[in-house]
Amino acid sequence: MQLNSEFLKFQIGDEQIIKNMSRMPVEQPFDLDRIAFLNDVSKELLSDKEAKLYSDVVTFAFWLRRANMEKEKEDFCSDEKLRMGRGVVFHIAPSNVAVNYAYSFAVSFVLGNANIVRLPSRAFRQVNIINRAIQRVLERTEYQKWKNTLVFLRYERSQVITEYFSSICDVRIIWGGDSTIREIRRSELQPRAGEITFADRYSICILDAEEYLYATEKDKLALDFYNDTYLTDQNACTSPRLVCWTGKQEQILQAKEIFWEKLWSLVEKTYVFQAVQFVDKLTNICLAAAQIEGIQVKPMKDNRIVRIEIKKITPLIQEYRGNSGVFYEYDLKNVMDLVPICSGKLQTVAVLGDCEMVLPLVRSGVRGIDRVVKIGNTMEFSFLWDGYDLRERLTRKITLVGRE
Amino acid sequence: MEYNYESMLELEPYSLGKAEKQELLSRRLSSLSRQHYQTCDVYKRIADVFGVDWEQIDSYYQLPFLPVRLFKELDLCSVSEEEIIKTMTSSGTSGQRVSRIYVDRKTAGYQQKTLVKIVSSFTGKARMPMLIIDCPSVVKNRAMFSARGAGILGFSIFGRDKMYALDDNMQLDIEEITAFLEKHKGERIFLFGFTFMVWQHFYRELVRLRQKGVKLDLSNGILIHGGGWKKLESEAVSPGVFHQSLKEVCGLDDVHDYYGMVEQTGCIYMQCEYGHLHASIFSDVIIRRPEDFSVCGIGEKGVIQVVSVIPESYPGHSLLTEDEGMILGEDDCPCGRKGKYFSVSGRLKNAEIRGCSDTYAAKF
Repeated sequence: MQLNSEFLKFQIGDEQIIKNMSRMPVEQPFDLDRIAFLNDVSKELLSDKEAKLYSDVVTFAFWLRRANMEKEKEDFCSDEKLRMGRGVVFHIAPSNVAVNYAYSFAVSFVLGNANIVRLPSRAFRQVNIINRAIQRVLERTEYQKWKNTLVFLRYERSQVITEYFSSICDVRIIWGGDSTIREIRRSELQPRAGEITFADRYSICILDAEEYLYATEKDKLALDFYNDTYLTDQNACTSPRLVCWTGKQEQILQAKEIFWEKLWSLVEKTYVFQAVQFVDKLTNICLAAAQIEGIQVKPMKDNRIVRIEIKKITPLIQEYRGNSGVFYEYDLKNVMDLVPICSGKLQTVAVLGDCEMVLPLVRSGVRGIDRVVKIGNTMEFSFLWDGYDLRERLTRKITLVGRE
Repeated sequence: MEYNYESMLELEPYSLGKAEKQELLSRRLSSLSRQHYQTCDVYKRIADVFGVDWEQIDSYYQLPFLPVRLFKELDLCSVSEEEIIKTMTSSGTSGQRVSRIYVDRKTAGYQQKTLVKIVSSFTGKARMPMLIIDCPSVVKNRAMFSARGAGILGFSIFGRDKMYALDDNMQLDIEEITAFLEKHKGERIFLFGFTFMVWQHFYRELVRLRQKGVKLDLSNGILIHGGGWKKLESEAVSPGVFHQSLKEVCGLDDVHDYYGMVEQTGCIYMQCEYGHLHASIFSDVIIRRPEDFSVCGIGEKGVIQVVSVIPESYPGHSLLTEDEGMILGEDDCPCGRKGKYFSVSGRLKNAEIRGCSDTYAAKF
């Protein structure tokens, strides 16, 4: 298969590197030099003035630090088994999230692989900042050895190109949605190659009214919830679309009032809407009204926060989900009430209160729920994502007689 | 209380001042809303979700409005299937969802009568020889009306001896047109077409022909055109340039744009001699602030809501469009017409929202 490089826009690396990449040696996961490399990228980012303007870049930089990687290493390599990277990993980043590709790359890199990364098509400032830092660190003498294992690029509308990369990679990672995954899957992989797909997912949160009312830092909680939702236009897989309340009725009433008021003040101050988003939200309510029984829109002072009260949990609330601040709201008597939306689509349950309360639901055998996290942490990236352990998926474990 | 629509048709379309018009529209639109609440299940469900209290409503400003996109997503109909005589659709490019508007005999009649009232107040009552700036095939399929076809048929009642200016390959038939104009020499000629069609296939061709020495004289013509400026904006053709260019190339000076949509067929907003779009007594525009849907003041830009007294067979009497515009004034346009006059600045900009959804696949 031939690669027509005319349509490739390289940010890091070039065509020659791609051609030789499958011959590059793999390395052990959490190799000390690789950890050092990421740590240096982290330093580079944390000293970059422009990077400080983007909280997602700063979060990424912190995540890259040596301490974090060593913790992961310890946890993963404690069994003393011999592991190696799998080879060439082809990453297809989502077009409308800025930093996802960078996590995808860093994980695969530190696990000992070579990487071809298709960058988001949308021009994010964050992408330039991160690539600039990686490029700089890569130029240092001690790290030049990896220049031949790293390509960041963009390309448009080309199944031919996707086919080529798919044919040379050992693992393909597709950051969804569903129809992207379907499209990409038309391009065949090598027989032994693996694939990790991050499909369209749905997330919810559970807030305990008593816990909320006793919490001293209510402004911080509002910010946490804001970061889980509005920060990504409430359109990430991890963004809660349903807000469940637990507790006594009068506490729930009280908690709701304070919670939404605090969130409103923050949204009003921080989030920049475009007019069409409000029209979209209205459309969303009307579509939900037409399809879902017994729902009620809570009157709010404006359209920044839309709350739709539901009396019964139904899968339809996933289908008619909105974004940019459209919340279904439910008073949860028993966690098992949530079963109807616990299909494989359900990814994250963000909790204020005791995370253990979700356990009976998980143990009941539902297909969904891959993450139960504290509110404010839904976006926090981890080697465990969407139910996959990326450390396992991106390495080989070698059978070695005598070490068993 | 049901308000009698027939009696509204007795009135001149731009004859009512603010207070009278509010009173009239409030009565008619409240009664229409209640009617749809009873006959259209989806409308009822939407009103219920918002907790609409009909007893509390005393002005049409308080009535619920449906986003116009809903007609692309849902079947919204207030009459039984047998009563539907035609289904109108918006013109969308292939693959795009189109609006579906269900029209019964009564509503179809209202649409036509209202259009006649509005347009004839600009053109006069007499029918004129009509030159349609489009191709004949666009109206052939009568069962599925596209907005273009519906517009042409709707406006055809103002013409006699109709002629399509373009063939089905969108070529201007200059010889036939010359003969047509010769035949109707000295008469007022009515031209109708969609803004982009007029520019692309009529104006541009006339410019080309002029270089060959062929020139039409349409100084006694009146052109009514609509359909929006989106395509022409990308070519940097403003309404002023449009008008001026037509005047230069063929002397056509009596030019009226109109604003309207298939979801409220019949109630169009005609542009007056001063370039302002006017709301007739049969409809109104309310400009709303997007963040809370409160009503904008004069001169303040916002999202356009349109209300129309016509739709009985589908709940399209109060709609939130995806267009932006502003009220320029009320009851005091120098042209003398009463009611609000306004301008449309275009479509709301698409939001590029974040998230892990599928913008990639759409481009694949």
